[in-house]
Amino acid sequence: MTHFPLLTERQQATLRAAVDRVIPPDDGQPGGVAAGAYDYILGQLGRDLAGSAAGYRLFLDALDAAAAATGKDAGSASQVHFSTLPPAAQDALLARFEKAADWRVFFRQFVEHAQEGFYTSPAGFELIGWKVRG
Amino acid sequence: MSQSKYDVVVVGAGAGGGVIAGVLAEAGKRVLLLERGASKTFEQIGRDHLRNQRISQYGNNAGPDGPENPRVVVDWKTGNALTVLPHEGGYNNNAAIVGGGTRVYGGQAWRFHPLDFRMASTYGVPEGSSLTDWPISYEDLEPFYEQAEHELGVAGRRAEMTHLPAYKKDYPMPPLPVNAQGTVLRKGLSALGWQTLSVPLAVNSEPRDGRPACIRCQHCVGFACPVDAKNGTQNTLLPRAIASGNCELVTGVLAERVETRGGRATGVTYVDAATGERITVEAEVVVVAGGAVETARLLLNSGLGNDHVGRHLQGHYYPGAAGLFPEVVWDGLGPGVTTATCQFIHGNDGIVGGGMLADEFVTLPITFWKRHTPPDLPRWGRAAKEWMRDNFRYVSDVKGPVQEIPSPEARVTVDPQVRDAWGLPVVRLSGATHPETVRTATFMHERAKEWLRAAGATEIWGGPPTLGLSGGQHQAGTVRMGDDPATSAADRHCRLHGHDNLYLGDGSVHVTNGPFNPFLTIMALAYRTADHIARSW
Repeated sequence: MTHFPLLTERQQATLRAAVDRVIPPDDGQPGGVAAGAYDYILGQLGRDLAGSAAGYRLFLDALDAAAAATGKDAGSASQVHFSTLPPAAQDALLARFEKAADWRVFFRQFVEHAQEGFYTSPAGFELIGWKVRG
Repeated sequence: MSQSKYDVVVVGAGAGGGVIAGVLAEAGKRVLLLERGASKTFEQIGRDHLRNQRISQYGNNAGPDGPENPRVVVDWKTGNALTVLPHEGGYNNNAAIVGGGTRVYGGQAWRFHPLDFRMASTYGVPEGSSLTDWPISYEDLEPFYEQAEHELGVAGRRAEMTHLPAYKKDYPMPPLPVNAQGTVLRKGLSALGWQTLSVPLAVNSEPRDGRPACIRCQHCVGFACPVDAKNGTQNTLLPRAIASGNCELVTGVLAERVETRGGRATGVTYVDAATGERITVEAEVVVVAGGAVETARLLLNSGLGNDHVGRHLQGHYYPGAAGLFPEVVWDGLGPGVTTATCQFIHGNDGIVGGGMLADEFVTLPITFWKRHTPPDLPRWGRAAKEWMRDNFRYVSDVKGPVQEIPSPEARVTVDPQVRDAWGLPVVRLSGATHPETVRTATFMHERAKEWLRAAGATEIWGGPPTLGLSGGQHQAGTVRMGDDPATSAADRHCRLHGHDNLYLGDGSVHVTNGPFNPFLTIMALAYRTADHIARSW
């Protein structure tokens, strides 16, 4: 049986990198991916967010295309991907998408999905100091 | 289902339906109790922080769930109609499960105040509203409030309820201990000189009724209790009903129509949700207790009742504010809501009615992220993460229900086109509360900020309320009681006008909905109604 993955490998890499900018790893504390927020979104795309899968693919491709354009502007010879940009450059691209008329609604949903994955994870609980009892 | 004829058929095994079924079964009546939801265990209800009564992002843990029973919601501003699923905004869900809302509620067990029963006489009638008095008084309901508090199990202290006439009996259990947030907030109330009291909760503060005391797990509101210390009809009245041998509980069924002949109810036709089979049962008395929204729908689909059926839909506006404190206010001890003030429930200059304010149930992390962060906080990145890390344990919020001023245009009707999976016209929700409600809610929003400031909050946020339709988990008003059929849908015994054996057993009969969570009033009315049914048999 042929399986059609929800996201291509390139799109997965872009999503992983983007989730780690929504909740960045720092000071030894886990970021979104280590906390499970990337796996959360991937899982949801197969379930409750199945209707958003096409939107995610477009969004991730657009992020990657924007990254490639910055590489061209910088005169880079090799292909630049979102996932290989330094974090500051990734943040700058995400900030552009946050304000872009075509993307700001989807962007807001994406960061909210990532935060859902994070603040329902043990790493999220530990970050803010919330402990489960009973 | 073993018979075709019963003494009583009750539709809905929630707060009111559970009481009526329990009382009448113990009085020797043969009761059939119909419930659309299932009987679910703690594990089945689960602990998904994104699927519960507070955050139903992807589903309802206490039902209904899925596409079988949508509702149509009309935007009051634009007139646009949208079909929504049970977990989506605008649906105005409560629950569909054995125990109803009491299976997963936070359990704030408030009596209404004497003036709540005579809002029109006290304040006059705002233009365009349908504000009116109840046909009964606090004194009529008082013995049944006491009965509910003792048979359900409520933890509180009568000496603190200084806004009410003196109780004849104290609560059966003392209040749960005050936690860190309550301690800080009480300092604020003391500084302001505002009335201060422990929130009465339908939660065991000590072992009772063969079940343990609360273990402070912080998953109170929106979930089932892991040790069954939270009291609902599913672990009190309903087991008693079953144990009497006189009550049959049938789950997974939807009432389709109340059958009548010559002005008398003769029984109920219901649908088995799994098979689509229709079954008609006969009864001497029919009680409809499906919650204000679905009860109105059932009556409308049965062609019963006058023009007031479905109108005056109310819930509770919940104005409040959040504050950042210099000291830690989270200590991991649930349920969390310990401290309230009734300083502003009535007698506010230039304001119709008022509201209660209380601290909040312990907020789960994702709920906090979605609902309690400052409006200007970035929604991603390092700044967002650091803010949460540095401030989560230092933030508390206060909020509370406002006594709504009803509008006759806030209503439940049935949609002319959309049908549920069994072919029944679905609920159509339209209109909005009366604008006077928003004035009162804005006043209470300011009091919330005042309280947080007095308690030492250095930053306060949370915006004032805006006009919209209110219903949701505190839904009420759609079959309101009254002595005059020109202005009400049911009589003072909660019988649908014109039908002396058809009763209502939920919040649909509320004329107004008080500045308090309504379930204790729903249960007190249900005890009173059951008493009336038994006496007039």
